[in-house]
Amino acid sequence: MEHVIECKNLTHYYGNNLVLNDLNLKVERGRIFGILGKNGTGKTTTINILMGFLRPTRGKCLVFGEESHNLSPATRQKIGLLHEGHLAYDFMTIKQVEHFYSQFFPGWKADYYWDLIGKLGLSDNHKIRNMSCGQRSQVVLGLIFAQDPELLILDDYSMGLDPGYRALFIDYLQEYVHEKNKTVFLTSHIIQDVEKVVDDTIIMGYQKLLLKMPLETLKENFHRFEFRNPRAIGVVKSDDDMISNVEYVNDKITIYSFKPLKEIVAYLKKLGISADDIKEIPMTLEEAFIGLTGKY
Amino acid sequence: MLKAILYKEWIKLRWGLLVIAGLTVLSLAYSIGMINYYIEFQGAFSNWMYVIGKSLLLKNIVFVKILPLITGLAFALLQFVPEMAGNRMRLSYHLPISEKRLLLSSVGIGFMFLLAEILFLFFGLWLVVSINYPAEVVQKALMSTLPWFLGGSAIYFLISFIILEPSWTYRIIYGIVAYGLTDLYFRASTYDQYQTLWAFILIVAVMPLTVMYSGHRFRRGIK
Repeated sequence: MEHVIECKNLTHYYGNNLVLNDLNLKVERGRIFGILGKNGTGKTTTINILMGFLRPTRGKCLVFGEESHNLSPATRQKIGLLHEGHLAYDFMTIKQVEHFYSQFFPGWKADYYWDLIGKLGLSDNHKIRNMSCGQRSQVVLGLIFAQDPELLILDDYSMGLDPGYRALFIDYLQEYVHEKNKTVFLTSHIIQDVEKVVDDTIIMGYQKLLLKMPLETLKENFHRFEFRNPRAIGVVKSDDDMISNVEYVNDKITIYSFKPLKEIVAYLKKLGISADDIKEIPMTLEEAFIGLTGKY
Repeated sequence: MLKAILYKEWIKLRWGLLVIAGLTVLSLAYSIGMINYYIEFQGAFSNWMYVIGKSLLLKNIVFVKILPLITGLAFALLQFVPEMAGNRMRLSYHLPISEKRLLLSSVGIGFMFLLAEILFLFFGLWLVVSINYPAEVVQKALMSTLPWFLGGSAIYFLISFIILEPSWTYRIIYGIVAYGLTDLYFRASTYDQYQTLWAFILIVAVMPLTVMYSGHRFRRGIK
């Protein structure tokens, strides 16, 4: 399978602070990847490396087969990039920014842009600097759609957006991406939105990749179990193979694991812990994310 | 693509161009007033000594001296502060155009606008001085202003170089160097000193490379 993005042994330090440690990932064409992680786990660093704004300390990233720190203009033409904070030329008006960008892309689809802008009900001469964050997000998304890129990289697209604009953004993105078979690599802090749109999830922990798998696989195979037993407190511990994470609230024990209930019960039994009332509690992606990464 | 970059730079610079053109008209009007004042109140002999002996006809008209400096400074700020604010320069670096071409065309366009303003002032001064003085005086008076015009160009490239630099430490160091270098242009007396003038031109000619250097550092994410 052809990989649009491929990162090999990606390692990056800020001074002595290790942010990315031997990260390996591949993004297949036509898939929507959601990259999730707490603050400081290296999501934006990864995107900065992918877009050539940062040179990794070690390892490399290939985008459309080219080294990310040396992307040719032709390759950049195939990538629609949404910068954190919906960065835009705010000294331009709605009309000016469209005119400016249209000259760089031979396959410019102005209709996509004007369709999204039409929803804002603003004059074409409205300056971007006088827009709310939500309005600006529509302008930026419209510019990316009009560019008709093969790959969309969206860095924290939900930042600063209220629920209405987030929903609008996701609706348009879903429709556009599925209709045109695009590859998307996105990061966001709003996991319930990511859940609606992504095919694959990458969850980053501090200095390591916690998992990379299709969302459906994660939903089917990652479990949350709860039971009550004061004797289990401090005895059941997270273990990479069996238990991904464990939480205690009073005598309630919550276990997160990729193993089925039967295996967990057997494991607890081996530890000498009875869990007669153990039951599986369904999870949203957000709960699974917290389960994997912990609350702290 | 060059047309698109020209369009963007025009949007950023157009009000600055208008304001500087207005200031140029005011400076020329002031120069006419000052020259008439010299002729009327100094008397013919003193004025002749002043103009020919000391070559001071335009050197004491402070507006003419600082206008190229203000123009260079203003154009660099107007062009590159909006790009650097909030890391907006990244938008430009993601455009499907090579880094070198992007930077060179941006500063090239800014410099062309600056040159247009400078030539406007220069030919305005030529007209103003030609009304009252013979060709030799006009030539020498204008020659004495050339370092300031070159200084305006130097400050444009140096300020662009500083703004695009990602590290504040480097910016401060470059700022000190830029101050010293620009000061040379405004202190120099090149009345008949063509060699100095050529050195000044040469320095300005290599300055776009400094802009490329700091732009490249920004692109590579150097802090």
